Amino acid sequence: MTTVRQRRSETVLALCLIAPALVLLTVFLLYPFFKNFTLFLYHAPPYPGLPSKWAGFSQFFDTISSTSFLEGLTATAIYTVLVVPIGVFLGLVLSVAAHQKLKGMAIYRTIFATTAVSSVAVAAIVFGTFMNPVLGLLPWLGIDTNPTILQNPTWAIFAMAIIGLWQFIGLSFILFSAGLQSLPEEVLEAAKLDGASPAKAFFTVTIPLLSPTIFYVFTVGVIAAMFTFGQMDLLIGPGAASAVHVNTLAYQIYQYVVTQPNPGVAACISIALFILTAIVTLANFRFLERRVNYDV
Amino acid sequence: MASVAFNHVTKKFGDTSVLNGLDLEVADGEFLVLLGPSGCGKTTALRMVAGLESPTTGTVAIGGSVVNDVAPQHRDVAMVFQNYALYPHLSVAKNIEFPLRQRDISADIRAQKVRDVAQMLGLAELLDRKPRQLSGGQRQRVALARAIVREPVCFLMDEPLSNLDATLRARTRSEIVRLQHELATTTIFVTHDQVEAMTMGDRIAVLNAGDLQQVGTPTELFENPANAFVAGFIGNPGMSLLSANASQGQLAIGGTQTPFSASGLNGAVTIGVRIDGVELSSSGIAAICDGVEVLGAEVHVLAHLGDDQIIVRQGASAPRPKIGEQIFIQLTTEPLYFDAVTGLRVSQ
Amino acid sequence: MTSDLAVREVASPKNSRARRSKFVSYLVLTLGAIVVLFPLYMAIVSSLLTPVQIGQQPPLFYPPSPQWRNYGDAFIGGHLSTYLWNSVLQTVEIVVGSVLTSLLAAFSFATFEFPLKKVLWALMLATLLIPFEVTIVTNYQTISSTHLLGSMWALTVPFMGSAIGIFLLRQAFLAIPGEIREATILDGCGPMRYFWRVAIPLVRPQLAAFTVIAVLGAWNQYLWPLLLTSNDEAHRTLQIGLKTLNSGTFEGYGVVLAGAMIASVPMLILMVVFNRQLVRSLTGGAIK
Repeated sequence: MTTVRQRRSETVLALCLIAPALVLLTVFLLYPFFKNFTLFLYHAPPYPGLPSKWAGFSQFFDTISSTSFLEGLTATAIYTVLVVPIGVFLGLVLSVAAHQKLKGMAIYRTIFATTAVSSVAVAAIVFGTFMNPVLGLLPWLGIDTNPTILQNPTWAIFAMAIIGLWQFIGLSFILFSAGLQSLPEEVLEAAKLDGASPAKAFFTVTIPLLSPTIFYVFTVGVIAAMFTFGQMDLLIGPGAASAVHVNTLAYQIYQYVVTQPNPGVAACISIALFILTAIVTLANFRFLERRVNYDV
Repeated sequence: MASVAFNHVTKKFGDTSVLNGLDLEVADGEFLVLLGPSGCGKTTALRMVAGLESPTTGTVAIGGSVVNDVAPQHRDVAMVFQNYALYPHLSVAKNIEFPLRQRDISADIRAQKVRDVAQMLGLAELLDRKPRQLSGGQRQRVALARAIVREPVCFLMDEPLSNLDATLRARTRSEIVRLQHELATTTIFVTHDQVEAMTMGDRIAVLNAGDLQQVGTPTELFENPANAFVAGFIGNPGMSLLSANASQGQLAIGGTQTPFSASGLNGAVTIGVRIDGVELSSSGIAAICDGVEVLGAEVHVLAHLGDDQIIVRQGASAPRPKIGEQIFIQLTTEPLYFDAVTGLRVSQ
Repeated sequence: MTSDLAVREVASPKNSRARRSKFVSYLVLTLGAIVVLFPLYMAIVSSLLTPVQIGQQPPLFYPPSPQWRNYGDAFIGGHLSTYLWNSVLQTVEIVVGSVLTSLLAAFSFATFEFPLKKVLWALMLATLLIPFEVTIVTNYQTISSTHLLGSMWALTVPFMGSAIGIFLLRQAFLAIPGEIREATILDGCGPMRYFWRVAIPLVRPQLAAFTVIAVLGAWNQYLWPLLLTSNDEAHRTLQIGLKTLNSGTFEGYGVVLAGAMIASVPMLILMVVFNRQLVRSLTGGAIK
């Protein structure tokens, strides 16, 4: 089994099997990711084809201190704050309510999961249509639509967040349901036998046991929220996004690639956004290690 | 059919030495049991024959030719694993057929062979089942069938009975022996259970801590253990080993004289006594009773004297000592003598 | 419980408490379901209304005369038939590609010992941390510089490697007992035969789970197809087609919503049929 020749042929086979995935991941993830760190050192040429001009770190600092970046950062942050905590909370409440052996639970589960499989384009169209003043729904509900929500600098971000929230509830629900299923049944039973009321048992037993899931859902939600731009693109567009304060950082990357190409700036924003998500992920890991430690 | 030979085989995993120069020959058609406590190297030795491990030094030969550099699939040996390693997604028939499909054998012949082997092992009714629909004993027989159907030159069995319950294990022991005699295929059977070894093997090779202790027929091992380890390991129960002292033609245990002379010996010595070589008495060697095992027709009294443990047989009706009570023991047969330091048998 | 009396005293409020908590559960779930489904319901209703009916005040909550022609208009006039086909093609290519490369790599990592294994594995895991969004600058340049641009391959090749897939499937391959692999070796079965005949059948549940999530991810892709097909109608996918349908001065909202429904139906079916696999893959295989 382990003669030299066999071992060598096995190594060759092993590497051949890995090669396709490795090449693809390297070319389309690793290489472009690291390429950002050279791109961000150069100013894009005024016309394509001219040589790029060395900018050093100044371009990065100029970019992240620019008004548009800070606006994007604010929009991204507000959006995240609007979507994630509420989505985590609603997902938790619904999954707890559904985590009982009652009739019809399968139907409810399916209903909540539908939002997780809906694309951002579908969600944006469905909600966007009803936010349109031409349609009768919002006036009928007594909501003033002048200017329309999507053109309103105050309310546009809320409209975007509702769409994101609707999509996120499904995922949050699925993850919490799975988390609840993996809880040790005996511990919950013990709490009941000890005479704890359902509410008390929920806050003193279920929530602490579920804390790893809560943080996981939270992280997943934050990272997804930080890269949101689909509904902005579909309903508002690159031209108006900034005016109504929904020009998120991810959307800005897209704009610097397509509508006003500037690879240097796009790379700067990409790096900044990556650092932000890395911080969130790491903070979450640290928090998990420190706070959520129990042996079951 | 073929013989199997280990020629000064050693095996190291990193710094840990698992086998220290194993020399062992298994004759063509023989049923050899590799016996020893867990971690003694017996499974490693078996896997070397299969080609799943390679020796660090030394050679393994099958049918007279060295196979160190022969890939497992070309050694023509079949293995029965401890957990059977049945393919869970295949039916019993497909499991048995699997090794045949890897060769150039026509479908008709394959089907015929599967039918024959299934018949031989009483699996004919189960051919369409999946492994998870079988009992432990049935799975075990499928594993055997899969090994037999290949008609290999050698069977390797790695504790194949350890997952069965006691009754089934006893029944399967004799069944495997019967099959092996019928097929006359060289078989190496690994176990830590000396009862299995004694009842199944033509010969037994006892291993301990990587060293071969003794090879012989069950009777040889039982009557003539080569060292204290084999003496204590073989038999049910094994020999009780006591430290004793020989001086001027007198053997003394714990200061108490015995009627045996231990001729030719002088100084500290380890003696081995079988359960039927000692009895309780009103005077003699003092020991403290640790417990009593009632086995029905007879009773075993467990006791210790100093650091040594001893087991004494008693009739079912005799008065039983209590735990912690002092009892007296007498030797009724001359014990075996072992070197107090090396444990080797000392011939008188 | 100290006495029988105590038991009885506890038992009866517990019963009514259980009934009450059951009622609260149903209430919460039903309210949640209504809120979640209402937009979808209204979208379905409105997709069957005429432009005049959609603007009606108060709004219609059912279609008085279902306008099925909205769906026809979306398909033909809105070119959704082309986009639908493109989406199917895109999804099939991505799923087949990523499942295949992930299976091979995962099997290799789980089965063989080879030099640099740890380094390569770390490299694979590292890609899990890189969001695709931060790579588009260079990827756009890469794809533009190849002859892939202007074909479906431009949409699919970048997603044919999947670290998640490799990770999930490697776990699955590792869970196969070593004895099974050894048995196949002794039975004369080479590594690739073992792969096809034994290992793949044994990881089928995890393979199904990964396939489902790969289908979902591919079908719902927005950013990359947007980059490549905003101006390339021939290769435009359904999701981007919805955008152009929405921004076009076209036949009205009924048709746009009909398009959105067409785009979501395949995934809804997928979810209902493969709910278990979907949950398993979303939770990283932790829940069976």
